[in-house]
Amino acid sequence: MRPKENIEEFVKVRKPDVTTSREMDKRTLDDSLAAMEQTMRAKSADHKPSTARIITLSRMIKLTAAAAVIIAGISFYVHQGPGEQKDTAMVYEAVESPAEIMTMKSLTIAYRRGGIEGIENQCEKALKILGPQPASLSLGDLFNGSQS
Amino acid sequence: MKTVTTNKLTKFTSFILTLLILSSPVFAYPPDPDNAALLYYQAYISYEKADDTMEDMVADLSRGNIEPNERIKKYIESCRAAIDLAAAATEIPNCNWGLKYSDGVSINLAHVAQTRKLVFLITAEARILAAEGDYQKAINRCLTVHKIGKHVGDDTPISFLVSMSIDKMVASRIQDILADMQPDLETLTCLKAKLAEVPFKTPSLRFAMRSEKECFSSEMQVDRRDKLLALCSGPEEVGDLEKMAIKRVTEGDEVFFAKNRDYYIKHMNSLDEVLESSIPYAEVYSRLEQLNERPGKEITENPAATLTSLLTPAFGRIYSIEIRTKTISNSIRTAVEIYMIKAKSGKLPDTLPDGLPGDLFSGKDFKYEKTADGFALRCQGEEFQKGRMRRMLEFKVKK
Repeated sequence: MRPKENIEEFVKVRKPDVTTSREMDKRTLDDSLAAMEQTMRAKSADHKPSTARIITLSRMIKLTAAAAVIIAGISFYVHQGPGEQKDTAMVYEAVESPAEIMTMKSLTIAYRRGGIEGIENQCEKALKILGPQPASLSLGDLFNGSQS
Repeated sequence: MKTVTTNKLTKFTSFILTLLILSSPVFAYPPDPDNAALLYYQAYISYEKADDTMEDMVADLSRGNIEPNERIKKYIESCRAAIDLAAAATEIPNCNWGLKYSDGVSINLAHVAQTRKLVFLITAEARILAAEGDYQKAINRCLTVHKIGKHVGDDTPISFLVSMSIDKMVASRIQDILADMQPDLETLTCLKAKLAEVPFKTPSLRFAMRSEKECFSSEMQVDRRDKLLALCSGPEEVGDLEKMAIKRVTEGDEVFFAKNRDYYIKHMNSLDEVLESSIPYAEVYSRLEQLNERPGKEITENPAATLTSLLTPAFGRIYSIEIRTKTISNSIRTAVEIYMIKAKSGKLPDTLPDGLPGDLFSGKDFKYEKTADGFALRCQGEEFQKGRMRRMLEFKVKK
């Protein structure tokens, strides 16, 4: 297996054991970037590297950065505490739902503020926050289970 | 004797069996829906949600701001099921959106947003068809949208305004297609016939106003004051009169709300009477404006005028939008006649033929004039001699 795949496999397998916080993610990223920068500065000051070394170094940097970003990403989505998740939900609720912004009340206010254009903008806003629509589904698709 | 009886019995049995088979409902499919809204609702869940860029591209193509490209064509093709369902819906005269009126001002009107999206899709496809030279199909798509606009209807003033906005959009798309194509008698005759059809009820401001009256008057209750106060919010600085009105609503008791309800109903009835009368546009507009100003003038002395003053929209302005949209539709019908003359004789007429749909602002015929690019139809009023309305009634003729 190639090194990149090794790291991806590692992240996949070890994911449930990783417990991080936002502070830790930030520290990991900062440390990685600082280490990268230090390595590059030291190398360039010491000697001119060969083409082969540059390629190897460049690959290592990319892999390290990729691993850090993957870990940070996974930990952000998977390991958020219950409190943090609640906060996100609250933020979402604060943004009006399409159903709310498309009530007669909201649209009447939109009309008073911006005339017909106000209504049109409100309609576009509603469509932008609507969830993805299903693609057309034929009976054939249903029987073949291709959409499941 | 026995053979004769058996033959008669066999014939009778065969006849009864044939009758039963022919009239049996068991093998028939149930009929298709007789309510267009059911098909529209299916259309809304039959297309994939486009990303924001694609949404903007479709809208831009529909408006004629960009040329068709392969990505848009592919996306519109992926929405074929939705477009076909919408087209099928426009063949059904009855359209009941099933609105939950008992929700009052919280009634959900999400269908108008979805309908606008469908309208953009279909008019964008019309642009693609026109760019490919298939003007007949392009015009048919516009006529589909014309019927969708009628279906959006007048259940509420919001629905009515969206319906007017769709009508205006259709007129603009047809105008562009007519400018793009060589005047072709067959296509124009077909367009003329379809524009003259009135398959569905035309949305009316009066009906929308009546619906608003029912809705708002039922909300004028002590226990619903929060909803009413939310409706009064605006972006502008609140003046002293409004502050006083909002204070009254916040502190009002049942008697206050009952008196306000009565005042509001009388006010809306007066507006309805003006719209019912067959007086010219200018007079209707002026009377609506006068009526609209009355609650604002009376509010200091008469607390019963408070809610009417806060909640009634400028119906004069909405009436003006209605007349403008209908005048633009009339201009398209008149323009088609002129294009037909050009198709028949090879040149534009010198004067406007008699008996064509006219300018509803003045109640007179359009003023016709030839221009460098084609011709223009002018409204008679001085206020229409410059600006958007003037530009909207200019028609290009392909040379």
